[in-house]
Order: sequence, then structure tokens, then C-alpha cells
Amino acid sequence: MGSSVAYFLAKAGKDVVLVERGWFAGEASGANAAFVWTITRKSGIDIRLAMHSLGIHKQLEAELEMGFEYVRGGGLLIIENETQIPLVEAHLRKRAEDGHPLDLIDAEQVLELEPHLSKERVLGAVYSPVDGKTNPIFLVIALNLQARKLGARLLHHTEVVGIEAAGGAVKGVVTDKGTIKTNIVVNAAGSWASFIGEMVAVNVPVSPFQMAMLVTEQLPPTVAHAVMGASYMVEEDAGKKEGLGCGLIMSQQTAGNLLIGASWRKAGYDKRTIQEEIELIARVNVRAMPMLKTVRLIRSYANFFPQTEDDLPILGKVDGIEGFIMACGHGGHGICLGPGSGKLIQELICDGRTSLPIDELNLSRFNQARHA
Amino acid sequence: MEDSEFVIVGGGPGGIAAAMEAAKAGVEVTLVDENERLGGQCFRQFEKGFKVVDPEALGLDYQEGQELLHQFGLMEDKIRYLSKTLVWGIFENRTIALARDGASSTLGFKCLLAATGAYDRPVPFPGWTLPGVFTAGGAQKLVKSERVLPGENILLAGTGPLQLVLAHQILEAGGKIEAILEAGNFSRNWLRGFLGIWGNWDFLKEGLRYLRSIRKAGVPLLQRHIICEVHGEGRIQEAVIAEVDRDWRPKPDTARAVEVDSICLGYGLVSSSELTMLAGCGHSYDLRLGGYVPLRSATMETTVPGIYAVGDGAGVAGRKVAIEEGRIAGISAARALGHLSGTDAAEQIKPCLKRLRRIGRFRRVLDDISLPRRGLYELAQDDTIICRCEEVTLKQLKDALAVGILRMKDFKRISRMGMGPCEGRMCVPSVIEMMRHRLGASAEDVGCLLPRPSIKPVALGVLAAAGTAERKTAHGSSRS
Amino acid sequence: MESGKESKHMRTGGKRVSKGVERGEPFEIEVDGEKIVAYEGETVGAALLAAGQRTLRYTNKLERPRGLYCGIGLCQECRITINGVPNAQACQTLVTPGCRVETVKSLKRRES
Repeated sequence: MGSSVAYFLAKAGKDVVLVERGWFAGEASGANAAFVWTITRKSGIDIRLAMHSLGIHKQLEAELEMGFEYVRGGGLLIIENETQIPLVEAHLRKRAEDGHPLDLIDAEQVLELEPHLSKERVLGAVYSPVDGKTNPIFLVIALNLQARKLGARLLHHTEVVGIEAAGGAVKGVVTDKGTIKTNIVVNAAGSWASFIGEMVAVNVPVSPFQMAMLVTEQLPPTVAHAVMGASYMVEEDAGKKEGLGCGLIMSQQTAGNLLIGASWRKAGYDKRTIQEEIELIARVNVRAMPMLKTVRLIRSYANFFPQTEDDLPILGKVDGIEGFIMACGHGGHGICLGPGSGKLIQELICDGRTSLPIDELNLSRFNQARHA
Repeated sequence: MEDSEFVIVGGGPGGIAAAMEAAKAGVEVTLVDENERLGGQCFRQFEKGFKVVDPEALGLDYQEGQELLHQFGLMEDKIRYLSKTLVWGIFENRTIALARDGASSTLGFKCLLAATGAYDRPVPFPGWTLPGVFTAGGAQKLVKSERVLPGENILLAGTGPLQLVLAHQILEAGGKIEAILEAGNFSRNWLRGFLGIWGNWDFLKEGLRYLRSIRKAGVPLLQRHIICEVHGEGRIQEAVIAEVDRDWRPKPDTARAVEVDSICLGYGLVSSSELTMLAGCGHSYDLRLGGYVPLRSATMETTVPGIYAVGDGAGVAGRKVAIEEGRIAGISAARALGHLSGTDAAEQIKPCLKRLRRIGRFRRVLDDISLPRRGLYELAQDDTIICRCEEVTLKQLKDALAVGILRMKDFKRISRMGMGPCEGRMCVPSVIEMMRHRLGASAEDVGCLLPRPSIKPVALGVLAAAGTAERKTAHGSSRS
Repeated sequence: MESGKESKHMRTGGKRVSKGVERGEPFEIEVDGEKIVAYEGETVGAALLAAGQRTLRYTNKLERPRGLYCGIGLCQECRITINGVPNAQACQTLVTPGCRVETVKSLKRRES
């Protein structure tokens, strides 16, 4: 998220400083499902944001010097059992009404597209040819390196400890290595956005939920699409409840490794994966694709996704404090929506308006009163 | 699987010694080991099919191992021994994850001992990935335990007296050695170093015997020599060796080619500390001891209460040290678990400590001799592979440093180094040194890669077959 | 015979040593379609080495040959297909009568 904002602002000739506590792609950006995906985006601003961002991904593919393995191989939302059907159909209806229809294909067609999937676990699928996968670590590094070339200053291993404000406006950012005078601060701190918000007494209602994924050793071309199970639509709320949720997510990286997942649970800020979730992810994926039985896991990873109550990001200015701009709360969709959000924030800062209306994504929708 | 009072991970000398002491005190012990048979690397046993007809021909260490294993055998009914069992994770709730008989399971523990051993230090140089380049440990396993020679004309390169053991075994087995290269030099100290590993005058005599047999076979033992390159089309055809200075840097105009078909590299060992790292124990970096090693108290306890570490996996020091440390850990755990009083434990530990001190005197000498010098990590050229799994080259490291990368985990992200199935074992030890030399930084600044479960590759089918039959999701629906 | 593969007639492998031990009865195993001799108690890696086969696979990116290196199951270089199961480690798998071994081509050369 932050890298995208930095890149577009630098490209627009603005004087930009990116402050990052770690290094490139150290947090959620480097530990996700690597999907660039629109199938499960809800009708309304959700899908509009996603489609806009997909276009930005394509644009970046051409613009950035460093490649990031973006493959628009298509996406499949697999309908695994009967209970999922009504949910999927309802979703398709709403999307069609909204002008962003999706194709439903039958089991035979699915198995033609992904022959290793288990017949027993495929009743059909939603197919989207524009969806795909990428290498999120490379994407973030590519954005950073280009931003730097265009004049942005990247301050890594530097932590923001405070924000100076006076007269209802931002005056500067205090880091553990010194203060930066500025009138505009973009809060792109993901799962830590609430801590940044506190520095200007703004309540940012994002709460982290932990998602874990597994990485397999490299295989010959095995999975061509971004594949998700429709249980995700059922389990979607699981991150907000207690316990361990799990849904099918799989894709194959350019290098050949499969990223498979995913489990989610509330785990504070603990990045460690636990045995239960690793075994659960294995079970769900082996059931969906039996040839995975002999494929070996070589590591697991987990990170936090900044979830908001309505599963939509928080973009835009904040009433009551001038110069403090929100660009966070992207939940599990940061890689897909990041580039697009970055462009929109750049437009907001430079032109005062955005090519895609984002008013409904404003922080104010949570009716959080600003404390004195 | 039923929980255990004391779980020991690793069936080498350290683990075996600990198991016996703890069981003697009445502790309920589970010894977990990956291999078919106990012994770890140094006391590796033959697999079923081989019949030993002349133990003496197999060397003093084989016999020593048999003696220890025999003693363990006498206590078999007091110790739960899980063979062919991989420990693939350790978790905060004091459980470890096991893969055994094609299924994953959990084992809870009150106390745990990591006796995970060490492995050969990887050293990148041009051609080191060619088939026919073996580690000394790998070659030793082939010669000792499988009775197969690594090749027909063998070059040994490395440092330290362990090379002589391998050389002797190869010669005894009828193999041909082109030369033995020692990067350091043989001073008086070098022979005293033998005592350091084996802590015993018998072994010093043994060491002298090795030297005599090497001389008798006419094998050149070249001190201050190193292997710089290996060439060949798909297989080894020749090696380039050179004389080195005190920093192990090749001296100009001393390089020459030797025709060999196999190479055994013995540059010391690196501790397998993945388990203690994953458990959150504190570690310090010590090149002398084998890289990142866990911090331990005098009773072998790490910074995590109830977790102990001994042997080469906690700092490379040889099998005698592993055995004494194992005994101390077993006794300490017995004390911690209430099976021994403090006084009794201290009494039992005293003789172990005494023996450790005696061995330690010679150990330090050995370590000084075998400490890798800077030149070792300068052998790699731009197109030399430094991460074998992902085929990352030195040039990529140089480019990453040029772009401002300071830490290993950031180099990993940009290059994919460490992302392969060996999980960093074959690259992290050398990349730490390469990065810190080039950056003028400390090893701690450079950092390392944090192990994540599974700490060794495990088949998804094994994980999917995990013990618990019925799983509940957040919604309470069954997901079996 | 694909290019780059070692001919078994090139005796660059090792040889079996008998001093101090007796082996059991020999049996046959199949490697890339051809039969070689193996003994109970050996690993697949050792049996291949004794038969002169040291290249076990080619790497994915640069298609370079790899074989046994660490010998103790850590480096993952000795991955081959044994009895249809891919990514089995030759240094860790004991031979069994009639087992089928396939040395591995790179991902580029393999059919999916």
C-alpha cells in the first residue's frame, strides 16, 4: 500500500518520504495468497475498486523496470458442495445487477481448466478470465526501487513514534531517527494503522486477523489459475469469531512453488504458525487436489490482515485533521487493491479529486468521534 | 500420542547419554530420532542387510559407538524410543509436531532436550555443485556405513584432523587419494587437537596411526593448501588447488590443476539449531562453534525454561563433549522434574563437569586451528552459486548490497535465497560470513533466517493424515 | 539417452568395499529403465554411485546437474522419483528389490 502511494507521488513529482519500520514487503505484503482477484468482490465500491486496481497492475507491469511475475491466468471460485450454491448464486446475481457479471461453469469445464482437482469436490465454479496471481514481494520491491529512482526517499528500519500537529493540521512526523517536517501524512500502516491514528487522536477501527499459508517445493506446471474454494464466502466472517477457520486457496508461483492455504484466526500480533492450522490447510488442499499427497511442505508463513467491520478499505482525508490521509484497512485484499488505492491517493493529494469516487470509503463512515 | 515428561530430540551420543541418565533417575523419557537406527552421525550403524564380521576393521569410533548403544540397549524398557520419526515443529504450548508412519501427530512435553547434531559447513567455490563433490560427512557415511567409495581418484580438502579419519577410512577400504589439503598448518597443536575431539590418549595413538598409513600410501598431505575451483562437463574432471596465506587466501602463481574425479570437503561443522531457534531460545553467533548456537546455563538449559540443548547442535565440540553434556542435561531434567534432589543432581553432575573441563582444554586448541579464515569466503566468483536450491549467485548478492540491503532476510526476499527445500541450511552459514565481510558488519547485524514449521520438508499427505479425525471450524461444522 | 547423462560405462562412480562386513544377497533395481545391482542395507544413492550414476537431477532454473552432496538428508540435492513418488531423497531411502528409480529432468524438460 505505502509503496504504491510513494511510487505514484514520486512519479507525479511530489517530494515523498516513505518510512518503514522494517524493509520491503516485510509484513502482510510478503505473506499473503498472492492473488490479484475480483471474483469474490462484492457489488458496489468493492468491485469497482478491484477492477480499477487490476488496470493499475497492468499499467505497472509496463511501467516498472523490475518485473513482478504478474500472470493473468484466470481465477476460479470452486463450488465444493451443495450448501455453497445459494451463496454463490446470490453473489452472482448482485454482481450482474451491478454491471460486473461473472461466468458460471460446470464441473467438466472446471476439470478441463484444472485437471488435478478432485472430481468429488467440484460441482462447478465461477470463472473470471481477468483474475490472476503475482509475486507480491517483487511487486513491492519494484515499486520501491522505482520510487527511489524518481526521487522518493525510502527510510527503512525507521519507526514512526509520533505525529506533530497544531491548529488541526499535520506539521511533521517524528521517527526514532529524527523528525520530518511535512503537511501531509498518509497512514498506510496496515494492521498497525490504529497506532498511527492514535498519534493524532484518530480512532482507526482496523483489527488484525492472522492468516496462514503453506509453501510447497517447486513443481512442474500444475495449477494454472488462482483457485479459491467457495467456502471462503461462508467462512469469511470466521476471522472475526473465535477459533480456527480454513478455506481453500491455491496458486502456483512463477518459480514453481505452490502457495496453498489458508487458515485464519485471531492471534493478536503473533506471526507464528501453529500445528493445527498447518495440518488443517494440508487436509483441505489434499482433499481438493489429491496429487498433493506426495508434495512436500517446505515452510509456512502467517501475517495479519487489517480487517474493518465492513470489509472495505479506509481511503481518504480525515475530518478534523488536515493533511492526515488514510490508506489502509484492506483486509486480505491488499495486494489486489494496493496499486489502485495508491493511484487514487496520489490523485487526491495532487488534484483534490479521484478518478474513482471514494467518498463512501472515508473513515467517517464509522462515526467515530474524535477524542480531544 | 501420550505426552511425555522428558522428550529428547536426536538419537546421537548426546541424546542417548541424556536418555540413560534421566531414565536411571526414574524420568519418563521419550527419545525421538529420524533414522532407522540410533547413533546419529558419529555412531552411525549399519542398516539391516550388512553383517559386521570384523569390528576392528571399522575403527575405534565404531566400537565406541557399539559400546554406548549396548548400554542403551540394557535400558530399552525404561525409554520410549521413536525411530524414523521426524520432529517438524515445536510450539509455544510445549508440544512438538511429529511425522511418523505416514501421519503427523503431536507430543506434549514438560522438559525437552535438543540434541540435533551438526552438519558439514557449506563453502561455495566455482564448481562446488557438480556431482562428485561430497561433504566429508557424506563421504564418511558412504565409506563407513554403506561401504561404497565416493570415487576412484579422490581429493580431500578442508581443515582439521577429522579429514585424516576420512582419509584413513578411504585408504583402508582400498580407495585412492590424490592429495589431502589442509588450509591451516600442522603445528604441534594440531596433534593435540586429536585429544580435543576424542579426549583420550588411545585416540591420539589412533591419530598417529592414520598419519602413518597416509604417509605409507604415499598420499601427499599438503598444508596451507585449499581447493579453489572444480571443472568439468557435467562431472568433475579436474580441480584447481593453490597455496594459501594465513587468511586462507590463495597466493598468486601457486594455483595448479589436479586430475580427480571426486572431492570431499571438510571445513568443519555447522550446528543444527533450527529447533531451538523455533522454540524461541536465545542464540549467539560464534563461527568457532558452528554459527548460531543456543545460549545455555551450566546445566545445559537454554533461555527457555525446561528446554535443554547439548552436543554439536548446541556448539560443535565432538562426541565426548556431547556425551558428557547429555549426561548433565539428563540429570538436570530429572532434577527439574522432581526425580532427583538438588544435592543428588549436583553430585552426579560433578564427574561429568570434571571430564568436560579436561576435554575442553584440548577443544580450544582444535577450534583455533579449524576456525575458517576470511579467504574461504572469497573463493566464490560472480557466477558461483551461493544458494544451491534456488541457484542464487554471488553476483546477485553483490547487486543486492549495492541496492542498499543490509540484512539477510531482505536479501532473501529480493533473491529467493533460502527459500528452497533445504530451508537455508546450505546457504545461510556462508551468506552470513559473505555479507558481514562485505558490509563490515557483525553477524547479529546481518541476522539470519528464522526457521518456520516445518523445519524439514514434510509431505502434505502426512500432514493431512494427522491424528485428530474430526476437526471443527469456527462455525462448528465438521471438516473431516 | 538424454545428453549430459553419464554413461554407466564411465566408471566415475565408486566401488563397493567388503572389508569388515558381509553383504546380504544382491538383487536388481531399475534405474531409468535399466537394471542395476543393489544390496539390502544400501541407500538408493549408494547403489547408484556404485553403478557409476552420480547425476541424479538437473536444476530448475539453470539445468545444471546435481547429485549426492551432504549425504545425510539435509541438502535436498539428491531428489529423485522412487516407485512413482517424486522428491524422494536418494541418500535417505533404502533400496528394495525391484524398486523403480527415475532420475529427474529439470522442470523445463519435464512434461506437466
